[in-house]
Amino acid sequence: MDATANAVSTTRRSRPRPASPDPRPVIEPGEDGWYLIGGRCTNCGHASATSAPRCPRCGSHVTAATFGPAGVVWSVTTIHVAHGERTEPYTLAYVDLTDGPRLLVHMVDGPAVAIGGQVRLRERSRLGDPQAEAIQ
Amino acid sequence: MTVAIWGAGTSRFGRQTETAPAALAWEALQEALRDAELTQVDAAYVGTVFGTLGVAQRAMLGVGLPGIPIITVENACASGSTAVHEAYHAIASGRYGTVIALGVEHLTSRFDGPIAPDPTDREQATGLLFPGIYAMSASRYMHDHGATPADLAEVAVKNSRHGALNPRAQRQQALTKAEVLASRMIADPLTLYQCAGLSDAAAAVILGSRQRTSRDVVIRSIALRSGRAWDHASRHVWGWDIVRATAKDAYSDAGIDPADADVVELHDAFTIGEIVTLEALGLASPGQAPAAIAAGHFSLGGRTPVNPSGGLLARGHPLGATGVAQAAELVWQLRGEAGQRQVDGARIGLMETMGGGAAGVDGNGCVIAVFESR
Repeated sequence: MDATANAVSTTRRSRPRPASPDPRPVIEPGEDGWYLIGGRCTNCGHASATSAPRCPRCGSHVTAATFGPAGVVWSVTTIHVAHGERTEPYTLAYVDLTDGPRLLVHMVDGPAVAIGGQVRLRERSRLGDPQAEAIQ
Repeated sequence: MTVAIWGAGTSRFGRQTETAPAALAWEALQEALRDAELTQVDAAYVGTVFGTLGVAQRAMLGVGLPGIPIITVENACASGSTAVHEAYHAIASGRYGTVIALGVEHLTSRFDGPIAPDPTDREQATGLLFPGIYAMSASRYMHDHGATPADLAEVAVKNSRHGALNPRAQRQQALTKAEVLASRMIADPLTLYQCAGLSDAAAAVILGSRQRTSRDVVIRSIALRSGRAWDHASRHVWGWDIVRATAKDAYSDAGIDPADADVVELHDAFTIGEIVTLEALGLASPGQAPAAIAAGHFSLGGRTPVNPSGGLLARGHPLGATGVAQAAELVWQLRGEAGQRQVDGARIGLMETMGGGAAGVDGNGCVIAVFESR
Protein backbone atom coordinates (compact mmCIF):
# COMPACT_ATOMS: atom_id res chain seq x y z
CA MET A 1 0.00 0.00 0.00
CA ASP A 2 1.77 3.21 -1.10
CA ALA A 3 1.48 6.67 0.46
CA THR A 4 -0.49 8.15 -2.48
CA ALA A 5 -3.31 5.61 -2.16
CA ASN A 6 -3.57 6.30 1.59
CA ALA A 7 -3.76 10.07 1.01
CA VAL A 8 -6.59 9.70 -1.51
CA SER A 9 -8.61 7.38 0.70
CA THR A 10 -8.24 9.79 3.67
CA THR A 11 -9.63 12.78 1.78
CA ARG A 12 -12.60 10.73 0.52
CA ARG A 13 -13.58 9.60 4.01
CA SER A 14 -16.32 11.80 5.48
CA ARG A 15 -15.08 14.31 8.07
CA PRO A 16 -15.88 13.77 11.71
CA ARG A 17 -18.99 15.61 12.91
CA PRO A 18 -18.00 18.81 14.81
CA ALA A 19 -19.05 18.76 18.44
CA SER A 20 -21.91 21.14 19.24
CA PRO A 21 -20.97 24.14 21.42
CA ASP A 22 -21.00 23.58 25.18
CA PRO A 23 -24.41 24.79 26.38
CA ARG A 24 -23.44 24.80 30.08
CA PRO A 25 -23.43 28.09 32.01
CA VAL A 26 -20.35 30.32 32.08
CA ILE A 27 -18.48 30.34 35.41
CA GLU A 28 -15.71 32.92 35.90
CA PRO A 29 -13.37 33.78 38.77
CA GLY A 30 -13.90 37.10 40.51
CA GLU A 31 -13.01 39.09 43.58
CA ASP A 32 -14.61 36.88 46.24
CA GLY A 33 -14.73 33.55 44.47
CA TRP A 34 -16.47 32.12 41.42
CA TYR A 35 -19.39 33.72 39.61
CA LEU A 36 -22.07 32.81 37.06
CA ILE A 37 -22.31 35.05 34.00
CA GLY A 38 -26.00 35.15 33.18
CA GLY A 39 -28.53 37.83 32.43
CA ARG A 40 -30.90 40.27 34.11
CA CYS A 41 -34.04 41.68 32.58
CA THR A 42 -33.91 45.43 31.92
CA ASN A 43 -37.65 45.65 32.59
CA CYS A 44 -38.62 43.38 35.48
CA GLY A 45 -35.18 42.60 36.93
CA HIS A 46 -35.66 38.83 36.62
CA ALA A 47 -32.34 36.94 36.82
CA SER A 48 -31.49 34.22 34.35
CA ALA A 49 -28.68 31.67 34.07
CA THR A 50 -28.44 31.86 30.28
CA SER A 51 -27.46 34.24 27.50
CA ALA A 52 -30.94 34.17 25.96
CA PRO A 53 -31.81 37.64 24.58
CA ARG A 54 -35.30 38.01 26.08
CA CYS A 55 -36.64 37.63 29.60
CA PRO A 56 -38.41 34.28 30.12
CA ARG A 57 -40.89 36.00 32.46
CA CYS A 58 -41.83 39.28 30.75
CA GLY A 59 -40.22 39.07 27.31
CA SER A 60 -38.19 42.28 27.59
CA HIS A 61 -34.53 42.75 26.75
CA VAL A 62 -31.91 41.12 28.96
CA THR A 63 -28.41 42.41 29.68
CA ALA A 64 -25.45 40.43 30.95
CA ALA A 65 -25.20 40.14 34.72
CA THR A 66 -22.97 38.44 37.25
CA PHE A 67 -24.26 36.28 40.09
CA GLY A 68 -22.69 34.57 43.09
CA PRO A 69 -20.53 33.41 44.61
CA ALA A 70 -23.00 32.19 47.27
CA GLY A 71 -26.41 30.58 47.15
CA VAL A 72 -28.92 28.29 48.89
CA VAL A 73 -29.72 24.67 48.00
CA TRP A 74 -33.28 24.35 46.65
CA SER A 75 -33.07 20.62 45.99
CA VAL A 76 -30.49 17.86 45.73
CA THR A 77 -30.20 14.32 44.37
CA THR A 78 -27.46 11.76 43.87
CA ILE A 79 -27.39 9.96 40.53
CA HIS A 80 -26.42 6.29 40.71
CA VAL A 81 -26.24 5.54 36.99
CA ALA A 82 -23.06 5.78 34.93
CA HIS A 83 -23.39 7.04 31.35
CA GLY A 84 -21.10 8.47 28.70
CA GLU A 85 -17.95 9.76 30.41
CA ARG A 86 -19.67 10.02 33.79
CA THR A 87 -19.05 7.58 36.59
CA GLU A 88 -21.47 7.22 39.48
CA PRO A 89 -22.38 8.27 42.05
CA TYR A 90 -22.48 12.02 41.57
CA THR A 91 -24.53 14.60 43.46
CA LEU A 92 -26.45 17.39 41.73
CA ALA A 93 -28.09 20.36 43.39
CA TYR A 94 -30.31 23.20 42.26
CA VAL A 95 -28.79 26.28 43.90
CA ASP A 96 -30.62 29.61 44.07
CA LEU A 97 -27.77 32.12 43.83
CA THR A 98 -28.02 35.25 46.03
CA ASP A 99 -30.34 37.69 44.23
CA GLY A 100 -29.84 35.48 41.22
CA PRO A 101 -31.08 32.57 39.15
CA ARG A 102 -31.43 28.86 39.92
CA LEU A 103 -28.35 26.97 38.75
CA LEU A 104 -27.72 23.23 38.44
CA VAL A 105 -24.34 22.32 39.95
CA HIS A 106 -22.31 19.30 40.98
CA MET A 107 -21.69 19.25 44.73
CA VAL A 108 -18.01 18.59 45.47
CA ASP A 109 -19.03 17.36 48.95
CA GLY A 110 -21.30 14.67 47.49
CA PRO A 111 -24.59 13.95 49.26
CA ALA A 112 -23.55 15.71 52.50
CA VAL A 113 -25.62 18.79 51.74
CA ALA A 114 -29.23 19.52 52.68
CA ILE A 115 -32.05 21.59 51.20
CA GLY A 116 -31.64 25.08 52.65
CA GLY A 117 -27.89 24.69 53.04
CA GLN A 118 -25.55 27.55 52.14
CA VAL A 119 -23.09 26.91 49.31
CA ARG A 120 -20.63 28.81 47.16
CA LEU A 121 -19.60 28.30 43.55
CA ARG A 122 -16.33 26.65 42.67
CA GLU A 123 -14.34 26.37 39.46
CA ARG A 124 -15.77 24.13 36.73
CA SER A 125 -15.04 20.42 37.18
CA ARG A 126 -12.68 18.35 35.08
CA LEU A 127 -15.66 17.48 32.86
CA GLY A 128 -16.59 21.19 32.59
CA ASP A 129 -19.59 21.16 34.95
CA PRO A 130 -20.52 24.03 37.27
CA GLN A 131 -19.60 23.04 40.83
CA ALA A 132 -20.37 24.23 44.34
CA GLU A 133 -19.23 23.43 47.85
CA ALA A 134 -21.07 23.67 51.14
CA ILE A 135 -20.19 26.63 53.33
CA GLN A 136 -19.82 25.61 56.97
CA MET B 1 -69.83 19.25 16.21
CA THR B 2 -69.10 16.16 18.30
CA VAL B 3 -65.69 14.58 17.88
CA ALA B 4 -65.63 10.96 19.01
CA ILE B 5 -63.19 8.08 19.13
CA TRP B 6 -64.49 5.36 16.86
CA GLY B 7 -61.79 2.76 17.42
CA ALA B 8 -58.73 1.93 19.53
CA GLY B 9 -55.89 -0.56 19.32
CA THR B 10 -52.46 -1.20 20.79
CA SER B 11 -49.57 -3.62 20.58
CA ARG B 12 -48.36 -5.14 23.81
CA PHE B 13 -45.89 -3.06 25.85
CA GLY B 14 -42.39 -4.12 26.81
CA ARG B 15 -38.93 -4.86 25.51
CA GLN B 16 -39.63 -6.03 21.95
CA THR B 17 -36.22 -5.91 20.36
CA GLU B 18 -37.20 -8.45 17.68
CA THR B 19 -40.25 -6.48 16.46
CA ALA B 20 -39.68 -3.49 14.19
CA PRO B 21 -41.40 -0.22 15.14
CA ALA B 22 -43.53 -0.28 11.98
CA ALA B 23 -44.68 -3.81 12.83
CA LEU B 24 -45.78 -2.61 16.29
CA ALA B 25 -47.70 0.16 14.55
CA TRP B 26 -49.39 -2.35 12.21
CA GLU B 27 -50.72 -4.29 15.18
CA ALA B 28 -52.17 -1.15 16.78
CA LEU B 29 -53.57 0.23 13.52
CA GLN B 30 -55.20 -3.03 12.41
CA GLU B 31 -56.94 -3.44 15.75
CA ALA B 32 -58.11 0.20 15.70
CA LEU B 33 -59.35 0.08 12.10
CA ARG B 34 -61.26 -3.16 12.73
CA ASP B 35 -62.69 -1.69 15.94
CA ALA B 36 -63.78 1.48 14.11
CA GLU B 37 -65.13 -0.53 11.14
CA LEU B 38 -63.10 1.61 8.73
CA THR B 39 -60.80 0.78 5.85
CA GLN B 40 -59.92 4.36 4.93
CA VAL B 41 -59.19 7.62 6.78
CA ASP B 42 -58.47 11.18 5.70
CA ALA B 43 -55.21 11.83 7.56
CA ALA B 44 -52.89 10.62 10.31
CA TYR B 45 -51.11 12.43 13.13
CA VAL B 46 -48.23 10.41 14.55
CA GLY B 47 -46.47 11.03 17.85
CA THR B 48 -42.93 9.74 18.31
CA VAL B 49 -39.94 11.15 20.19
CA PHE B 50 -36.98 9.27 18.75
CA GLY B 51 -38.44 8.40 15.36
CA THR B 52 -37.04 7.07 13.34
CA LEU B 53 -37.50 9.18 10.24
CA GLY B 54 -40.21 7.55 8.10
CA VAL B 55 -41.66 5.20 10.71
CA ALA B 56 -45.08 6.84 10.26
CA GLN B 57 -45.01 6.29 6.51
CA ARG B 58 -43.96 2.63 6.83
CA ALA B 59 -46.78 2.21 9.33
CA MET B 60 -49.50 3.61 7.07
CA LEU B 61 -48.31 1.91 3.88
CA GLY B 62 -48.25 -1.45 5.67
CA VAL B 63 -51.94 -1.31 6.59
CA GLY B 64 -53.14 -0.14 3.19
CA LEU B 65 -53.33 3.61 3.83
CA PRO B 66 -50.89 5.10 1.32
CA GLY B 67 -51.01 8.71 0.16
CA ILE B 68 -52.95 10.26 3.05
CA PRO B 69 -51.48 13.37 4.70
CA ILE B 70 -49.22 12.26 7.57
CA ILE B 71 -48.07 14.75 10.20
CA THR B 72 -45.48 13.56 12.72
CA VAL B 73 -45.41 15.50 15.99
CA GLU B 74 -43.06 15.60 18.98
CA ASN B 75 -43.70 16.99 22.46
CA ALA B 76 -41.44 14.71 24.51
CA CYS B 77 -43.55 12.29 26.56
CA ALA B 78 -46.71 14.13 25.44
CA SER B 79 -46.08 13.36 21.75
CA GLY B 80 -48.82 10.75 21.46
CA SER B 81 -51.39 12.85 23.26
CA THR B 82 -50.36 15.79 21.07
CA ALA B 83 -51.24 13.59 18.06
CA VAL B 84 -54.69 13.02 19.60
CA HIS B 85 -55.02 16.76 20.23
CA GLU B 86 -54.15 17.60 16.63
CA ALA B 87 -56.49 14.93 15.27
CA TYR B 88 -59.31 16.33 17.40
CA HIS B 89 -58.80 19.91 16.25
CA ALA B 90 -58.35 18.90 12.61
CA ILE B 91 -61.83 17.39 12.72
CA ALA B 92 -63.41 20.08 14.88
CA SER B 93 -62.17 22.76 12.49
CA GLY B 94 -63.56 20.89 9.50
CA ARG B 95 -60.17 20.12 7.99
CA TYR B 96 -60.62 16.33 7.96
CA GLY B 97 -63.46 13.88 8.66
CA THR B 98 -61.79 10.75 10.04
CA VAL B 99 -58.28 10.86 11.43
CA ILE B 100 -55.85 8.37 12.95
CA ALA B 101 -53.80 9.38 15.98
CA LEU B 102 -50.90 6.93 16.25
CA GLY B 103 -48.15 6.83 18.85
CA VAL B 104 -45.07 4.67 18.31
CA GLU B 105 -41.74 4.28 20.07
CA HIS B 106 -38.97 1.71 20.02
CA LEU B 107 -36.60 2.62 22.86
CA THR B 108 -34.70 -0.66 23.13
CA SER B 109 -33.18 -0.15 19.70
CA ARG B 110 -31.87 3.29 20.78
CA PHE B 111 -30.72 2.90 24.38
CA ASP B 112 -29.15 0.21 26.56
CA GLY B 113 -29.64 1.91 29.88
CA PRO B 114 -31.20 5.26 30.74
CA ILE B 115 -32.27 7.58 27.95
CA ALA B 116 -29.06 9.36 27.03
CA PRO B 117 -28.98 13.03 27.98
CA ASP B 118 -29.01 15.61 25.20
CA PRO B 119 -25.60 17.29 24.92
CA THR B 120 -27.19 20.49 23.57
CA ASP B 121 -29.30 21.04 26.70
CA ARG B 122 -27.44 22.92 29.45
CA GLU B 123 -28.77 20.80 32.31
CA GLN B 124 -28.73 17.43 30.55
CA ALA B 125 -25.13 18.23 29.51
CA THR B 126 -24.44 18.78 33.23
CA GLY B 127 -25.57 15.22 33.93
CA LEU B 128 -29.27 15.67 34.74
CA LEU B 129 -30.94 12.51 33.44
CA PHE B 130 -34.74 12.16 33.41
CA PRO B 131 -34.78 10.27 36.73
CA GLY B 132 -32.73 13.15 38.13
CA ILE B 133 -35.29 15.77 37.06
CA TYR B 134 -37.99 13.88 38.95
CA ALA B 135 -35.71 13.07 41.88
CA MET B 136 -35.17 16.80 42.41
CA SER B 137 -38.96 17.19 42.63
CA ALA B 138 -39.18 14.23 45.01
CA SER B 139 -36.51 15.63 47.36
CA ARG B 140 -38.17 19.03 47.42
CA TYR B 141 -41.69 17.60 47.84
CA MET B 142 -40.55 15.45 50.76
CA HIS B 143 -38.91 18.51 52.34
CA ASP B 144 -41.98 20.73 51.87
CA HIS B 145 -44.67 18.24 52.89
CA GLY B 146 -42.95 15.73 55.15
CA ALA B 147 -43.54 12.86 52.73
CA THR B 148 -41.33 9.77 53.01
CA PRO B 149 -39.73 7.33 50.55
CA ALA B 150 -42.43 4.85 51.59
CA ASP B 151 -45.08 7.33 50.42
CA LEU B 152 -43.46 7.44 47.01
CA ALA B 153 -43.20 3.65 46.84
CA GLU B 154 -46.98 3.30 47.37
CA VAL B 155 -47.56 4.68 43.87
CA ALA B 156 -45.49 1.87 42.37
CA VAL B 157 -47.25 -0.69 44.57
CA LYS B 158 -50.72 0.50 43.46
CA ASN B 159 -49.86 0.69 39.79
CA SER B 160 -48.12 -2.70 39.81
CA ARG B 161 -51.29 -4.22 41.26
CA HIS B 162 -53.26 -2.69 38.39
CA GLY B 163 -50.66 -3.78 35.86
CA ALA B 164 -51.01 -7.37 37.03
CA LEU B 165 -54.58 -7.22 35.69
CA ASN B 166 -53.51 -5.90 32.28
CA PRO B 167 -52.49 -8.61 29.79
CA ARG B 168 -50.74 -6.01 27.58
CA ALA B 169 -48.68 -4.45 30.38
CA GLN B 170 -44.89 -4.56 30.52
CA ARG B 171 -44.76 -5.28 34.24
CA GLN B 172 -47.48 -7.70 35.31
CA GLN B 173 -46.13 -8.59 38.74
CA ALA B 174 -47.68 -7.01 41.82
CA LEU B 175 -44.87 -5.54 43.94
CA THR B 176 -44.67 -5.01 47.69
CA LYS B 177 -43.52 -1.76 49.23
CA ALA B 178 -40.38 -3.53 50.50
CA GLU B 179 -39.53 -4.77 47.00
CA VAL B 180 -39.97 -1.29 45.55
CA LEU B 181 -37.75 0.33 48.21
CA ALA B 182 -35.11 -2.41 48.01
CA SER B 183 -34.74 -2.16 44.23
CA ARG B 184 -31.60 -0.49 42.93
CA MET B 185 -31.24 3.26 43.64
CA ILE B 186 -31.33 5.24 40.40
CA ALA B 187 -31.56 8.91 41.46
CA ASP B 188 -32.06 9.42 45.17
CA PRO B 189 -34.81 8.86 46.38
CA LEU B 190 -36.14 7.09 43.25
CA THR B 191 -35.39 3.37 43.07
CA LEU B 192 -35.60 1.20 39.94
CA TYR B 193 -39.24 0.16 40.40
CA GLN B 194 -40.20 3.81 40.89
CA CYS B 195 -39.05 4.54 37.34
CA ALA B 196 -40.72 3.46 34.11
CA GLY B 197 -38.38 1.10 32.23
CA LEU B 198 -37.37 1.12 28.58
CA SER B 199 -40.35 0.02 26.51
CA ASP B 200 -41.43 -0.55 22.91
CA ALA B 201 -45.03 -0.27 21.68
CA ALA B 202 -47.56 1.40 19.44
CA ALA B 203 -51.09 2.61 20.12
CA ALA B 204 -53.73 4.04 17.80
CA VAL B 205 -57.10 5.71 18.14
CA ILE B 206 -59.31 6.75 15.25
CA LEU B 207 -61.40 9.92 15.56
CA GLY B 208 -64.54 10.82 13.63
CA SER B 209 -66.80 13.84 13.30
CA ARG B 210 -69.85 12.47 15.12
CA GLN B 211 -70.96 9.83 17.62
CA ARG B 212 -72.34 6.91 15.60
CA THR B 213 -73.35 4.52 18.39
CA SER B 214 -72.90 4.34 22.16
CA ARG B 215 -69.57 2.55 21.53
CA ASP B 216 -68.06 5.76 20.18
CA VAL B 217 -66.46 7.70 23.03
CA VAL B 218 -66.99 11.46 22.90
CA ILE B 219 -64.07 13.83 23.45
CA ARG B 220 -65.54 16.65 25.53
CA SER B 221 -62.34 18.67 25.59
CA ILE B 222 -58.62 18.42 24.95
CA ALA B 223 -56.10 21.10 25.87
CA LEU B 224 -52.39 21.56 25.10
CA ARG B 225 -49.84 23.96 26.59
CA SER B 226 -46.09 24.32 26.64
CA GLY B 227 -44.36 25.14 29.90
CA ARG B 228 -43.53 28.62 31.07
CA ALA B 229 -40.22 29.42 32.77
CA TRP B 230 -39.30 27.12 35.65
CA ASP B 231 -36.68 28.79 37.84
CA HIS B 232 -35.98 30.43 41.22
CA ALA B 233 -39.24 32.41 40.92
CA SER B 234 -41.38 29.27 40.53
CA ARG B 235 -43.61 28.50 43.50
CA HIS B 236 -43.97 24.79 42.80
CA VAL B 237 -41.84 21.83 41.84
CA TRP B 238 -41.14 21.32 38.15
CA GLY B 239 -44.18 20.34 36.09
CA TRP B 240 -46.86 21.45 38.55
CA ASP B 241 -47.84 24.79 37.01
CA ILE B 242 -48.14 23.47 33.45
CA VAL B 243 -50.47 20.67 34.56
CA ARG B 244 -52.57 23.09 36.65
CA ALA B 245 -52.91 25.58 33.77
CA THR B 246 -53.70 22.92 31.14
CA ALA B 247 -56.23 21.26 33.44
CA LYS B 248 -58.01 24.57 33.94
CA ASP B 249 -58.42 24.84 30.15
CA ALA B 250 -59.63 21.24 29.80
CA TYR B 251 -62.06 21.39 32.74
CA SER B 252 -63.48 24.73 31.63
CA ASP B 253 -63.93 23.58 28.00
CA ALA B 254 -65.63 20.37 29.17
CA GLY B 255 -67.66 22.08 31.88
CA ILE B 256 -66.50 19.67 34.60
CA ASP B 257 -64.73 19.72 37.96
CA PRO B 258 -61.93 17.20 38.60
CA ALA B 259 -64.18 15.37 41.05
CA ASP B 260 -66.48 14.50 38.13
CA ALA B 261 -63.87 12.14 36.66
CA ASP B 262 -64.73 8.46 37.23
CA VAL B 263 -61.40 7.14 35.95
CA VAL B 264 -58.03 8.77 35.30
CA GLU B 265 -54.95 7.90 33.26
CA LEU B 266 -52.07 10.20 34.19
CA HIS B 267 -48.34 10.57 33.74
CA ASP B 268 -46.54 8.43 36.32
CA ALA B 269 -43.17 8.03 34.55
CA PHE B 270 -41.78 8.19 38.10
CA THR B 271 -43.72 7.72 41.34
CA ILE B 272 -43.36 11.37 42.36
CA GLY B 273 -44.93 12.28 39.02
CA GLU B 274 -48.25 10.74 40.06
CA ILE B 275 -48.19 12.52 43.44
CA VAL B 276 -47.42 15.95 41.98
CA THR B 277 -49.89 15.47 39.13
CA LEU B 278 -52.76 14.42 41.40
CA GLU B 279 -52.35 17.70 43.29
CA ALA B 280 -51.89 19.84 40.18
CA LEU B 281 -55.02 18.26 38.66
CA GLY B 282 -56.98 19.16 41.80
CA LEU B 283 -57.68 15.51 42.68
CA ALA B 284 -55.84 15.95 45.99
CA SER B 285 -54.99 19.02 48.09
CA PRO B 286 -51.37 20.21 48.28
CA GLY B 287 -49.35 17.72 50.31
CA GLN B 288 -52.32 15.34 50.64
CA ALA B 289 -51.85 12.99 47.69
CA PRO B 290 -49.76 10.43 49.64
CA ALA B 291 -52.43 10.06 52.32
CA ALA B 292 -55.18 9.68 49.72
CA ILE B 293 -53.13 7.04 47.85
CA ALA B 294 -52.49 5.14 51.09
CA ALA B 295 -56.22 5.29 51.89
CA GLY B 296 -57.01 3.59 48.59
CA HIS B 297 -58.90 6.50 47.01
CA PHE B 298 -57.05 6.09 43.73
CA SER B 299 -56.93 2.29 43.60
CA LEU B 300 -59.26 0.10 41.56
CA GLY B 301 -62.32 -0.22 43.76
CA GLY B 302 -61.61 3.17 45.33
CA ARG B 303 -63.23 6.57 44.90
CA THR B 304 -61.43 7.61 41.69
CA PRO B 305 -59.23 4.89 40.20
CA VAL B 306 -56.03 6.36 38.77
CA ASN B 307 -53.99 4.42 36.21
CA PRO B 308 -56.14 1.27 36.12
CA SER B 309 -53.97 0.18 33.17
CA GLY B 310 -50.94 0.08 35.45
CA GLY B 311 -49.87 3.52 34.26
CA LEU B 312 -46.50 4.32 32.78
CA LEU B 313 -44.79 2.44 35.61
CA ALA B 314 -46.47 -0.93 34.97
CA ARG B 315 -48.14 -0.74 31.54
CA GLY B 316 -44.92 0.82 30.21
CA HIS B 317 -43.73 4.14 28.84
CA PRO B 318 -42.67 3.93 25.20
CA LEU B 319 -42.57 7.70 25.01
CA GLY B 320 -44.53 8.57 21.87
CA ALA B 321 -47.02 5.72 22.31
CA THR B 322 -48.01 6.56 25.87
CA GLY B 323 -50.55 9.34 25.31
CA VAL B 324 -52.42 7.30 22.73
CA ALA B 325 -52.27 4.24 25.01
CA GLN B 326 -53.92 6.32 27.74
CA ALA B 327 -56.67 7.30 25.29
CA ALA B 328 -57.17 3.63 24.31
CA GLU B 329 -57.43 2.58 27.97
CA LEU B 330 -60.06 5.23 28.65
CA VAL B 331 -62.01 4.15 25.56
CA TRP B 332 -62.07 0.56 26.87
CA GLN B 333 -62.99 1.73 30.38
CA LEU B 334 -65.83 3.96 29.18
CA ARG B 335 -67.23 1.19 26.96
CA GLY B 336 -67.10 -1.37 29.77
CA GLU B 337 -64.50 -3.43 27.87
CA ALA B 338 -61.63 -3.25 30.38
CA GLY B 339 -61.96 -6.79 31.72
CA GLN B 340 -60.54 -7.40 35.18
CA ARG B 341 -59.44 -3.80 35.58
CA GLN B 342 -62.87 -2.34 34.72
CA VAL B 343 -63.95 0.69 36.73
CA ASP B 344 -67.66 0.00 37.21
CA GLY B 345 -70.01 2.56 35.71
CA ALA B 346 -67.21 4.77 34.40
CA ARG B 347 -68.77 7.54 32.30
CA ILE B 348 -66.22 10.39 32.42
CA GLY B 349 -62.53 9.74 31.87
CA LEU B 350 -59.60 12.12 32.36
CA MET B 351 -56.23 11.74 30.66
CA GLU B 352 -53.02 13.69 31.28
CA THR B 353 -49.52 13.46 29.84
CA MET B 354 -46.67 15.90 30.47
CA GLY B 355 -43.34 15.59 28.74
CA GLY B 356 -40.20 17.50 29.62
CA GLY B 357 -36.45 17.72 29.63
CA ALA B 358 -35.76 21.22 28.31
CA ALA B 359 -33.76 23.14 30.93
CA GLY B 360 -35.59 26.01 32.57
CA VAL B 361 -38.92 25.08 30.97
CA ASP B 362 -41.78 23.91 33.18
CA GLY B 363 -42.54 20.89 31.05
CA ASN B 364 -42.10 20.81 27.26
CA GLY B 365 -45.77 20.03 26.70
CA CYS B 366 -48.86 18.91 28.57
CA VAL B 367 -52.06 17.51 27.11
CA ILE B 368 -55.20 16.95 29.18
CA ALA B 369 -58.43 15.54 27.79
CA VAL B 370 -61.91 14.74 29.06
CA PHE B 371 -63.71 11.78 27.49
CA GLU B 372 -67.33 10.75 27.98
CA SER B 373 -69.49 7.78 27.13
CA ARG B 374 -73.05 8.63 26.15
